[in-house]
Amino acid sequence: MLSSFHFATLAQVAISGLALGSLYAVALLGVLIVYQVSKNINFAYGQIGMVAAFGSYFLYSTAHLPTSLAMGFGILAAVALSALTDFLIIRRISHRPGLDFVVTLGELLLLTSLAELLLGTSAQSYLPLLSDLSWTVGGVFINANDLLAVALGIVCVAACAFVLTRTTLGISLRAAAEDPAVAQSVGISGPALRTATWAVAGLLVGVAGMMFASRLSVSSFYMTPLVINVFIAGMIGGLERFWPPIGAAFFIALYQAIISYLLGEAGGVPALFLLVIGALSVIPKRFLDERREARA
Amino acid sequence: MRASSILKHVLILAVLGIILAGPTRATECKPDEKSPGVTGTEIKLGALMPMSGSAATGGIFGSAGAKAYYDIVNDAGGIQGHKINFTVLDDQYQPAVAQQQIRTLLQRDEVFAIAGGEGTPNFLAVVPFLERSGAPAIAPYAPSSELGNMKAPHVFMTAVNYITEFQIMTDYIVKTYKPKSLGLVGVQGNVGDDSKAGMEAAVKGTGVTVNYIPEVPGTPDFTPIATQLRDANADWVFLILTNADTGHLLEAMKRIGYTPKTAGWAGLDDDDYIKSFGALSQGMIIAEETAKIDSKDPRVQKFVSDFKAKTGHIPGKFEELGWVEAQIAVKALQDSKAFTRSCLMASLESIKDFKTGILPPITFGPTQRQGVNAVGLVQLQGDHTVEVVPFRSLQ
Repeated sequence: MLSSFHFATLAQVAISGLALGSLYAVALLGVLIVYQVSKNINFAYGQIGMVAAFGSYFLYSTAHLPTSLAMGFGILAAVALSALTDFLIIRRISHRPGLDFVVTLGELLLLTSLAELLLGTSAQSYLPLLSDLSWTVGGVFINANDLLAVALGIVCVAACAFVLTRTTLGISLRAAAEDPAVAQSVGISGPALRTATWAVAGLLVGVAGMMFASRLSVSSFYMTPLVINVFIAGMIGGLERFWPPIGAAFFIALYQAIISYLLGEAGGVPALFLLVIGALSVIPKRFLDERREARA
Repeated sequence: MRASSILKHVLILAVLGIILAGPTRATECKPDEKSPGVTGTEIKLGALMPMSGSAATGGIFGSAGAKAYYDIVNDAGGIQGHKINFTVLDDQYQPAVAQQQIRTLLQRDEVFAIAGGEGTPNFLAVVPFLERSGAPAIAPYAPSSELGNMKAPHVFMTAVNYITEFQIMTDYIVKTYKPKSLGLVGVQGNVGDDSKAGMEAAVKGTGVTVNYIPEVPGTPDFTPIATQLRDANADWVFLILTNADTGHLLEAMKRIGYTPKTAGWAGLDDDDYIKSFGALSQGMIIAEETAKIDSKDPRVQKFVSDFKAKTGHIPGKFEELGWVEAQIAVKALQDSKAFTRSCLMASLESIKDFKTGILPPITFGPTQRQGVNAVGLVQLQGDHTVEVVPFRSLQ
């Protein structure tokens, strides 16, 4: 395998890795904003993305809705589900740390079972989302779906970075996260902002879920291995940060793609966990600690 | 050395040889033997199948096919007044889970025998425990060269192992299409290794190369594998993955503009797979272990009509597999002199030329645990498969 490794091959594998990394980054944004605003981790996060994709699949294939409408409803379902998770469940257990793991794990199992019951257990081919369009450049096959994934990644990451650091809304979000009581006293509605953040997370994972489905297939469990990689990127980069975990998301996808090409699929998973162990061992502690913001 | 000493050594060696060679005599039926899972009114049978996860399609439909057959038998009064109580536990296609679940079936539920099953790595994981427990296992769908021989004498196989399946399929493709290079993507482990061994046996002396890429179920990105195959210039790609992963790989191959001819294991001749990924799989040659549902064989037609009368729909491939697994178990129970495990084993060993129509004729024996050694070949055209080669065995 090593002897046949040349530039066009590297580029082919890297493009796919970059596209997958972009989608990891889009999904990770939702994890980051939820954690940074409400200090919760939603284990059902991937399944909310599955609801968007599998739901839209059902709407266009069985109910025969136009595909754009079906996708719109799928996204709305993910947004609503994510917002309701916070509104109905997380708010009520916010005073009991650690319970969010259990509750959202239960939600993950429930959504998986419901999907299997209502939509079956078979994997289904999803919409191509531009994967039928492609060009050859210097021996490298460029697929429009890969470009779409990269574009979505760039746009979503840039938009989130801008909102969080340059807008009043972003400042309000961070204020509400730091001290909800003080934020409330100056007119910032913490709970409402929090639910809105969860809703945005639903939007992000819904988009990522549909793009993942276009590259693989859609089923009740297809998001699970993908979301594991997303959480790994968050852990390596630090859920309290922005650019390091986003960078980790891209790196993990590229790293796994190249290792899988060189050493086979069997090398991909252990290589990833070696990376996690290595990164957590050598990264200086101060990079993993919560940032210490200067307080006004 | 004295003659008596030499004789003693020879006798010891002879006894050791007999022990190591394993049982060669027919199993003796012991009607008075105590066996679990049998009461005055019922016989408990069990199976492990993947009912969730990426291989769930095979398990869910396989168990439905088996249950339909047992229900028909029970409706007709059961076997000598004993109703079949059939339990299926989910092993999630995971060996570790299968090992827990087999203990549940045999120790907690105390089933009489294991009837059927779906999946190779999960079933192989339970074989040592099965053998220690002495429970017969009837026709699990777990193609493997580790089974169907006297290394696992309690397991009676009708699923052709992947060595044979891929050897027959490769032989046909090499002789018909004259490819220069073949690719194989298979589930890592026994499944992939056996398929590779079969392909290599078929191409021996032809100059055709086989490029094997092992795969791990649930891989999120198939582009590296697709790129490896493209770089190897494989004219044909043989596939033995879960149905979902097959679709993902074909999708990845399409995305990088690589469209070789394809061939796949028997599990791909399935309505669900064709509905989901048929567009990506046109022209695929698929091994055929069971008769086509639209076969003119009167036994197959009876199966289809009985199944439809029971369930309301035409059976698919995995339902057909589950049905025939149940059929073989019932045949063995009907012919068994008593409902003890040794008598069931003796009955299974006595099955000769049993024609189900669904499988090639089945024959076991005192030292024969592989009941079937033939496959056919079909090709996917449109939304259905068409026979290209009828059932045939290795020459």
